[in-house]
Amino acid sequence: MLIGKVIGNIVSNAKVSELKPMKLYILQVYDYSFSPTERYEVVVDGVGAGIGDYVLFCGGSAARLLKLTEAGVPIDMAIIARIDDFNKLKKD
Amino acid sequence: MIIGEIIGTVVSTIKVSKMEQARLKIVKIINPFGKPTGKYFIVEDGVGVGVGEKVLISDDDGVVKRLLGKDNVPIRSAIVAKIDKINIYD
Repeated sequence: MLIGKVIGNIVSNAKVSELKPMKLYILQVYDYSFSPTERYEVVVDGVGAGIGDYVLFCGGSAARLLKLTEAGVPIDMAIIARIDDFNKLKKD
Repeated sequence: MIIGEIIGTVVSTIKVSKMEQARLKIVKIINPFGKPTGKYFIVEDGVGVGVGEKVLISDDDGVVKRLLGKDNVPIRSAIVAKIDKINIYD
């Protein structure tokens, strides 16, 4: 699983039918010391996250195990948790 | 999923039989701010989008199996949506 921050969303009317009810968010991927990287991903929202939220997301077949994506939805990444708080161990 | 822009199509008459109905497009991969990442993919077109359009690509082998409804199709990624608008708030 990776950490990401929701920075935007994608509007699409012409898409594969299974994707109809899905919200498509743009994430900026953060590394484990919670600093932003240059990597961006588009994911399906599985938990009702909002813009500006920090989230956990997973890829590959794991993304298709959600109740939301059980019907074999052709996606490869999905948000599975919203991060409320985190504590970073200081490396001194 | 990643964002791409369709820059061309691929036509092939002699190919693996499982790829019969595949409609192949050449896609330039860009980041959400439109900056090209230097990568290019040849993908199955699951939606039917024209050249020059921005699309969303699912980059995972399980995807094409669902789109074409056939197992072990030798294509890895596929277009799953045509992008109408990209909103960046943050």
